[in-house]
Amino acid sequence: MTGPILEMRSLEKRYGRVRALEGLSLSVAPGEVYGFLGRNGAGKSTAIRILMGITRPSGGEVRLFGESTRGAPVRLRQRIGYVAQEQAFYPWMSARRLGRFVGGFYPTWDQGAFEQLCLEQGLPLDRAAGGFSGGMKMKLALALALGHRPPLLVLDEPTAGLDPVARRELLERVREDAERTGRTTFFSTHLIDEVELVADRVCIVDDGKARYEGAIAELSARVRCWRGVDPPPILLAPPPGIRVLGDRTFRGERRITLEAADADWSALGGVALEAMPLEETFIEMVRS
Amino acid sequence: MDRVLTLLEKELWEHGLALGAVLVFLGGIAGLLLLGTAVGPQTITVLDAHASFVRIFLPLFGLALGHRLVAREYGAPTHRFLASLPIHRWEILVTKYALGLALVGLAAGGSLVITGAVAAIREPLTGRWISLVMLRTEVFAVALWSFFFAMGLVGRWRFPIYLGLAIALTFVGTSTDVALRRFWPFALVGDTFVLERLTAPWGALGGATAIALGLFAVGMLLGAGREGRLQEALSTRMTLRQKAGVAVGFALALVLLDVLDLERRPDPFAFESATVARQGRVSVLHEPGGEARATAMAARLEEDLARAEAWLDLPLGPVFVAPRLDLGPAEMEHEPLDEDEPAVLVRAAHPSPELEERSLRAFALARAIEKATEGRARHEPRRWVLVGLSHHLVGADPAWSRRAAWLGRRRAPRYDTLRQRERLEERFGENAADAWAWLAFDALAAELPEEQLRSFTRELLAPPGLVLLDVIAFRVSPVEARLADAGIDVASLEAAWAARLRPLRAEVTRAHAEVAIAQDGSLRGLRAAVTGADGDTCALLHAGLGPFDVPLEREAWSREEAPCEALDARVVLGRYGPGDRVFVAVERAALGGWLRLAASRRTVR
Repeated sequence: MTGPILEMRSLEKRYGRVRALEGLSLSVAPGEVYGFLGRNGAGKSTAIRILMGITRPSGGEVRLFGESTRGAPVRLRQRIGYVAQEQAFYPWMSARRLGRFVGGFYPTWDQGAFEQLCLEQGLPLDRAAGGFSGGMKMKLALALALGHRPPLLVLDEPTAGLDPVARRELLERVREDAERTGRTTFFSTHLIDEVELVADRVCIVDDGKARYEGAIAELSARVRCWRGVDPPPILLAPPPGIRVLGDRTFRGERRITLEAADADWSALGGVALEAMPLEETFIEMVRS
Repeated sequence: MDRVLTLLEKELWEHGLALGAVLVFLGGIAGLLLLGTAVGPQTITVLDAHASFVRIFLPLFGLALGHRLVAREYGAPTHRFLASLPIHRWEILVTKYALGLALVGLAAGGSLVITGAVAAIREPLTGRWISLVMLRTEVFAVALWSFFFAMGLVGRWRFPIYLGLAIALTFVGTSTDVALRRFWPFALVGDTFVLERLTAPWGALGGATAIALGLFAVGMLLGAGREGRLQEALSTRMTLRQKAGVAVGFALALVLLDVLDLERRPDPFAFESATVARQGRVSVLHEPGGEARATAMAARLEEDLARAEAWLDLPLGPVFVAPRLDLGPAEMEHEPLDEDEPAVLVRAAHPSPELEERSLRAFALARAIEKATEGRARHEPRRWVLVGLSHHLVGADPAWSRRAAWLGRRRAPRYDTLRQRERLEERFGENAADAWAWLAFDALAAELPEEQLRSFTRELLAPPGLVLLDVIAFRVSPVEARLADAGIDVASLEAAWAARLRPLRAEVTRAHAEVAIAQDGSLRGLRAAVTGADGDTCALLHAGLGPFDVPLEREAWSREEAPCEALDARVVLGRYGPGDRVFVAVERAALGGWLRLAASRRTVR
């Protein structure tokens, strides 16, 4: 497939007066690991619920594998592996039985591969899932999501509630799986370091809209900051193509954050600007 | 289809054991109901067991199923896991509905199949009859399950709703005149639904189906409405404030119902038939063409009641007389009505020319006095006064003299035989015991001035309130005390009574009966032989007594009639085994009624 494997076009979702999504657009290419970054309540889960067919959009559309999800969500959903934010497995089912149960919904299910994945992650196959820890449940969810060898893996804040070790193991497994299989992975999180660790490209969503979509390296190049006491006047009224994201004073030091749409800072002349950590960049972008 | 089958398999795996256990339990209940109905003396059809099952246990099964199959999924909340799988929300709901429907339908249909199979052994079941009962049962099951399915999706509010409905339905059933059994879907399983064998109640079937569809739609709306968020909101646990609100609401409702004291006053008992002769408070149901005779009898009974009221200074309630042609001429039957009902209902062979009308009137009068005294007048040791007075007021019948004389050949006219009425009745039968009491009372009436007799009976049968003597009546008979008050001692009563009995004895024929425990191989049996009654009809009566030897109700007796000379051929074999306590008696049809020739309580060895 040459076109995008997943596309959201001007996606809107309203719950009464609340607008959860306001024209969200993004595009995920085959084989890439895509970070979907945003604060809590930014609209990430709503977008994923629409993508999974759990919720219908109020406007816009989602295209999966080049096809609109409207009218045929089940067939398309059978090609997606999905890891939800919270795991609500049947507590009386063992991992093996859960695999058999979930396998009934996917024509391409491979019980052997699923069990192999469980064993690789150290999961007992015949113990009731109700007794699993949070980390084990997440590993099981990942195995269940990969058991039918989906071309697209969707993870909705999978590391929420995990301890640092479990979190790291999960992220490494996702990255390793993507590299080994070339599977497209759509990864939602509000933690920057996870995106840095896993993703090739990122979409920063805030207030239901995409604030940035592109490579992480490009994001770092687009945002710079100036620190000092008396800022040059050009920073307060920047030329076209550059905008002020933030202007704060902390302990007598003024800090101005700027964004250049095409990472071209030449219009500012010789003003010395600093590169920012990705987390700072994200914070400034969503604050602005 | 695969995903629906997968879901079904999951449901059966998850709930199969519990539901199987419930089904086995219900099967046991159905078996017990079936057994109880099959051996019950009042049973019209064994299908009654199915009716009880459908009315009581099927709703309980539906309740359990709705909780496990629906409410638990959404409360857990494992439905979120299901929602993440490639399956439509409506497919999940429809699968659950269909599975629950199948199980409830299976339980209901299974109950009918089993009871029908047993009923077919001795009842003339037809295919149409069974089909109609099945149709009613299954449509009721559909409506029932649709309700519990919808309630399962109401989440945390379902138990307050159940409780509220239970209170509301109880209130409507007991405090208003609204008959719930007339409304869909209850009309499908009303009191006589297993007896309806000819026509299908299409209106009720259609109405119940519409209700089921409506409830299913409500369930689907709750489960799938607003993309499942409605159900999600309903299935969360109750907050403390909500719990407190519900508790306060129910407490207020109960207090309100109690304060209003809206307990239903049921309509007074009445004959609904057009062929009823009425005179004052007496109603006599009669056959077409029998109006004149019934009216005359009603008028006489009304006069008896008025006389008794004046005698006892006690208001008496209405009396209803219904025909029952299989009773003997001196055989009466009392049908208890509601406790609050002031009327009495008696049955007798009243269109029959052989009926002892005076006996019927005396019987009805005694029941009316019993009712007006809330049963106090019927107990030993004053029962003989009640019987004697009621017979005295309607005037003597020659048959009574003959029966009293017959008993006088077997017992001396001793006061003790009056006091211990139950013992006398068990040994010699009700007709003879009544005649015995009447003769003693008649002797008393001859000894006492009427005003004194009136005062004596009034104080015994209708005292203004409970007196201390009632409480200690087991040791000091109030009858004897009242007799002494009236200046009559027991010895003089016995003497006057014996004097009345003496000239009557010559009228009585002699007959003799013996009862015995017979044995044939390992089987035990009852055998009776009668001498001196050739040409008459005799009856062998028997009943198991159980461990406590309590007095027997008439319904508990088995009765086998035969010519007296051939009665010894009627051996009851195998009914009772070693160690059983048995009451066995022989009666002879004579002197207008049944006279008990022999009676005893035996232990089978």
